[in-house]
Amino acid sequence: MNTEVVILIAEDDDGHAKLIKKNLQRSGISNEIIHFPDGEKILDFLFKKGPGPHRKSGSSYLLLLDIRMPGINGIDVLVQIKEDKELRKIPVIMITTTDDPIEVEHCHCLGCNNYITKPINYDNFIEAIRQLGLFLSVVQIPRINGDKAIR
Amino acid sequence: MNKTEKHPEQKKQLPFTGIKSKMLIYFGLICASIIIGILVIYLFGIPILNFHGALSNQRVEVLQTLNLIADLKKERLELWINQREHDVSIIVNSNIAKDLTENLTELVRSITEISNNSSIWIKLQEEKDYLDLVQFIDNIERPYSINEGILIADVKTGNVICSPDSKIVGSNISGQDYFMNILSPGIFQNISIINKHPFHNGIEDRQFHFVISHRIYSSRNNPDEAAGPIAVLAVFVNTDYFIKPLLHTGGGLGSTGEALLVSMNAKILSPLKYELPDGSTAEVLEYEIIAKPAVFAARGEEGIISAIDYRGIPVLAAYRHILINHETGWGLVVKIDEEEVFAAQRNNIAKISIISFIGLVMFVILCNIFANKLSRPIRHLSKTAELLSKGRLHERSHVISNDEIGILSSAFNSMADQIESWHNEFEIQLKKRTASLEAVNKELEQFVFIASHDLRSPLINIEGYSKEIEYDLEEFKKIIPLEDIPEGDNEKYKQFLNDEIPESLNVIKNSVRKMDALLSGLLKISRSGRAMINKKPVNMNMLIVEVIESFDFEIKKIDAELKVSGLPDCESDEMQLSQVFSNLISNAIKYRKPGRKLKIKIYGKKNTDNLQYYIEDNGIGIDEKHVKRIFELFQRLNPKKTSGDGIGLTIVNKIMKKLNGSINVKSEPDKGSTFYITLPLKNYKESV
Repeated sequence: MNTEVVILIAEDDDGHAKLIKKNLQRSGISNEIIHFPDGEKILDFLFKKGPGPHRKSGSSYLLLLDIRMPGINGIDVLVQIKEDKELRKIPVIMITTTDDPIEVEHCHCLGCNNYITKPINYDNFIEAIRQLGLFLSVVQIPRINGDKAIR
Repeated sequence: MNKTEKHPEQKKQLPFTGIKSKMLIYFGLICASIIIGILVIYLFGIPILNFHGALSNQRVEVLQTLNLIADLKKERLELWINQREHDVSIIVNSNIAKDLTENLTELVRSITEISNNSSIWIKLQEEKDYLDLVQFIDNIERPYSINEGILIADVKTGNVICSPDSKIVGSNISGQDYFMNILSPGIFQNISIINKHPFHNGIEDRQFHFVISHRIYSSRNNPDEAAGPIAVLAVFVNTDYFIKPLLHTGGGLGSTGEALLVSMNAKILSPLKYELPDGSTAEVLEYEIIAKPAVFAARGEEGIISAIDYRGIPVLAAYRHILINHETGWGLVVKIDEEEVFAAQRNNIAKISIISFIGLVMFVILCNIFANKLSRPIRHLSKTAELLSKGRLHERSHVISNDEIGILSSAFNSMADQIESWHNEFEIQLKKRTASLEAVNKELEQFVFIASHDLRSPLINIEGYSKEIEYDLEEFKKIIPLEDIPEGDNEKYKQFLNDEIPESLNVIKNSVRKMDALLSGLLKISRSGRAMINKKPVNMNMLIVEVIESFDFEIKKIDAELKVSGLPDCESDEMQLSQVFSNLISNAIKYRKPGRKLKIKIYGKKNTDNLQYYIEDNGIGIDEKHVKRIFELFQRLNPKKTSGDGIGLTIVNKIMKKLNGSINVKSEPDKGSTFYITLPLKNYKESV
């Protein structure tokens, strides 16, 4: 995967975020990873609002989005991203604790690119993250506010 | 409350069971029986009350008429015979006739002593006495043309010595009844019936004639003297002139009636009106009637009778005896067919019946009007009650009257008011309860959902970081080789690193997995509670095939035998049903008896009001005391022996309830279990 791609993790549980980060790195992903603890922060980052860090134009991003978050939840974030002409190019991978088929269906309808269940079984979790890594290594990640998609 | 619910006892009303129909039937029956009763009493009377019916009255009336006719005819006949006798007595009591007879007798006797030549009778007719006598008796014979002939005969010889009909003069009548009878002691006059007489050349004419004979005494002697009569007078009477008109005229006998005259030995004296039963015509003076009235009359009795006549037909008859000679006489019978008598009555009955029928029809029409009027409020009330019972609680009776029905109506209305207010209150209460229950239910499901969702987050961390610790431990072991650790502590470190810490981590992981199983179970249940039911016609055979296919691998692995026999289709939610069957088959596989080949039979049947599907296995079965608990949450009967989250049957139970069906089980430990689900035949409205 292109190392320019920045992986954004929106996850209210620090532990989960850390586990994801660790396992991504363990499976060979060395890209920059930025963690946002709630929906508001990631929206601020992406829409360049508020005092926190903002995204840079011309960069490529990939978003790992937890559904259940306090305040603005993952679904709301997904909706807002997909409503924005430019941001909708960001691949969004939903990460959730349940495998509720209704929820999965809902997210796919809203335009998420993939869906990962956080399994309790750690081996399965690692496998899921590994697959995510594989996914990230083959997929084209477009630049946001850039001219061309990069490989 | 379900307003379309039907009460089983409210059947559709059968015809003729309504109050109006009953009124009509009862009133009609009463009216009909009154009319029939009156008719019967009118016809046959009431014996106890000495009230004679019309039939009896008619009979009495006819018999009275017959009596009158018979009396009249008898009187006329007797009068007429008396007149004839009177004619005779004029001659025999006339001294001229007596003297002339005596002279003539003596003359004839004196002549015949000398010669018995027939010429003497011719000479006799030239005698002055003879001519005088002929003239005398001829005066009596001629005026009415009643008499057919008249003669005077000598008592001693029986020779006719004088007659207006000259050809019989000189003939002998000594052998004839009318001559011989008169000579019996004490008899002065005799009437005899004859069927031939000398004036008709002695030919039998099969006609009824009679002859009045009378003694003639000498005017010079006392009649009582032993000297006896000198001659006999015989007057032959023509009955045609009188008796036939007498019998056949006068009316009063209808069209079938008849009057008849019989001799003392019951032989008919006049032709009969009808033929005999064998088709022949009865001969006058030959045919002897054996019918009672004629026999009685000939015998000398008089009266009325209802009897069988000579034709064998029932008649009403009056019979009379007409004394002719001293002890004997003729019988007179007037009769009329009963049929004719009662024909009039029958005609009356027919007329009365028609009038009664018209009356009955009018009565029924009136009854209908009144029954309608009387039953209308009750029908209205019952209709209202029916509507009310079907749930139209605002219906009220509009009957306003001051009779019992009015009271019933107002009582009914106040009852309905009460029911409606109760019902409304009940509905409000029910809505409140339902709303609060729904809220609680929703809250609960939400709670379960959130709880299982959110409770998993920490679990992921616990599991994840336990694993991290494991990794770290491995790393740690690599970084610090055991050899570097002082000898005494070596064993202790080894124990920590190799046994104690991994053991603790294992316990943590196992607990996490257990907790996760519980939570995902809760989540599944909460999901099945939230799932939408989508009912469609379901091809059950296809559904089962699909479900079985998903178990293909396991079935082959354990070499199980599955038999599916034709399942009836239903209307339900396909997804949910396939989950139900999937769970049940999965259970059958899970709880098979080790060492025994698993056999699963799936079959179904269509009942009158539901559908049933059976899943029968030969597994370990369920103890009776556990049967009730198996559908409860997290009940696993053998948690250690088998895998599973313990919610399969709970979910099945929950789904079946949502589909308006049910699940039950019959089981015998060690032999196997039969789970059977019941589904409604028709897709009822989703229950709230």
